[in-house]
Amino acid sequence: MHRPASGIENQLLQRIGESGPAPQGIAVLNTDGQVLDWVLTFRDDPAVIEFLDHTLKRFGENPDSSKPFATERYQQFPGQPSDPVPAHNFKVSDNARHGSDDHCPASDVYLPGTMIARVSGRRLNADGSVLSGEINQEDYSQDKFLIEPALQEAFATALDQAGSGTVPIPVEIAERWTAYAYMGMLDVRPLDNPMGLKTERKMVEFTALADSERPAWFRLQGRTDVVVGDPVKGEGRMKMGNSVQLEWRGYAKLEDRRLTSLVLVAEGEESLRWGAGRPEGMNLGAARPPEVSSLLGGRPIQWSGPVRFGIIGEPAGEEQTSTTAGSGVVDHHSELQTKMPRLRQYLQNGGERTRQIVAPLMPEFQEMVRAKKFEEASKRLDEILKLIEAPTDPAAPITPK
Amino acid sequence: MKLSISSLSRSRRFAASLVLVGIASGIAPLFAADSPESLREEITALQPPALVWREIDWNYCLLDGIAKSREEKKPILLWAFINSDPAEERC
Repeated sequence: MHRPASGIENQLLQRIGESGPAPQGIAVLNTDGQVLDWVLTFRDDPAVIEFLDHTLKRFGENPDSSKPFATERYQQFPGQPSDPVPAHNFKVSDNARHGSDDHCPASDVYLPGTMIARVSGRRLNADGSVLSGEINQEDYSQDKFLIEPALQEAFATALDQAGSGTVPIPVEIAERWTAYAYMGMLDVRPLDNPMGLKTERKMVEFTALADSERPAWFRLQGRTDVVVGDPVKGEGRMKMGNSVQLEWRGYAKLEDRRLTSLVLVAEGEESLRWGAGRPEGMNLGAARPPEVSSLLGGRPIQWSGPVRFGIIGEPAGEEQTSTTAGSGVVDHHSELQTKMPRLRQYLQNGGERTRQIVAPLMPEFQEMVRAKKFEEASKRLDEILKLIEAPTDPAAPITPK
Repeated sequence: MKLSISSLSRSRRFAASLVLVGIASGIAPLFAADSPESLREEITALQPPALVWREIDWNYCLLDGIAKSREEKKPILLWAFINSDPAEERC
């Protein structure tokens, strides 16, 4: 909604977003996509139903754009309204549909051969049973990540060395699934943190062994220990931190140098803190504020305990793939993730000259990544790599080791 | 108390030797009984059998939502997330 983009749906989403009291929220629209009401939080659970009744009444009065009306906005419903604004008048025709040059912003398009991996995570009781509760992300998490064809090729190259013994799995591949095995919200991702918080990869070690009983299958095992922020005291304005230590086991199937199946289970311990933080027990009881009253930014979370994660990866279906470069955000993000190991290799092995080239350019590049301007960041990374790879002395070109 | 393999019962000695073989081969014997199918079952067990909000036929495309709203003459409930990357699964 808040990204500048072309296409009729994006234009409508931007008009809807302009009236929003915050970048996120819940809106009720009429049949022309005009906003009747925005709401960010609710006084309590019954207020949610009151809000829906209220907007149904407003829909009866303004079912379409035939007459002007005001968009109501609530910081909290009821009781905390913001000033209303005139409803937008961007009209969508009856036959408006996405075309080949107008990509739907809600549909994911992947490069052919991309693997889509889905993650499930649960907190465990002390006896190893699954803790009940599926509402909050710190109790039950779902996530998704991609393994692009280029990364699969790197995986295949590593496994070429397997023979009958174990081989290490390249860290840039192992980091991909390690980054997504955590509980809680997006902000506390322990690697490749979307808030730009400092992360620490204490250990990411995986090995693969060809499975003698199952052709094309490799057995995987590993151990990871990753941290973002400070899980004890909390880091930054939001006082956040997350540390995850896991033991992994699984299988990968490789056919024609493409990953066609990935199954991973991980178990271990996690310590998560977000917000002001208070002991878990204090979140219970009569004094606990209704969760619907703190939807923005969420409520304080602090716990440590056993966790279990499962990952199942399968190739994207033909209907989800496109060879058109840059057809969606996903492609630029993937592109960037594929190029990053090359930069890392240069920084590790390229010496002082590489560091001198990269150092002044990194803050701006990191800011682009932090702001999720992946297309811009990807182009900038190309420029950085080009600078590094341009040899000053033809006799001594810098190449990644 | 110090514990050596020789002080264990026969079955425990066998189990201990499996552990040593497992360590030597680089694959922990704890995982020896695993298969891709059994791991899939473990993962499926982590997922809740039914979630109420999943039973709602949510529309991801707003244009489709508007077409349906016009057809059924009903309002649209729109959830807007702060994520700038729509591919993110978490919020």
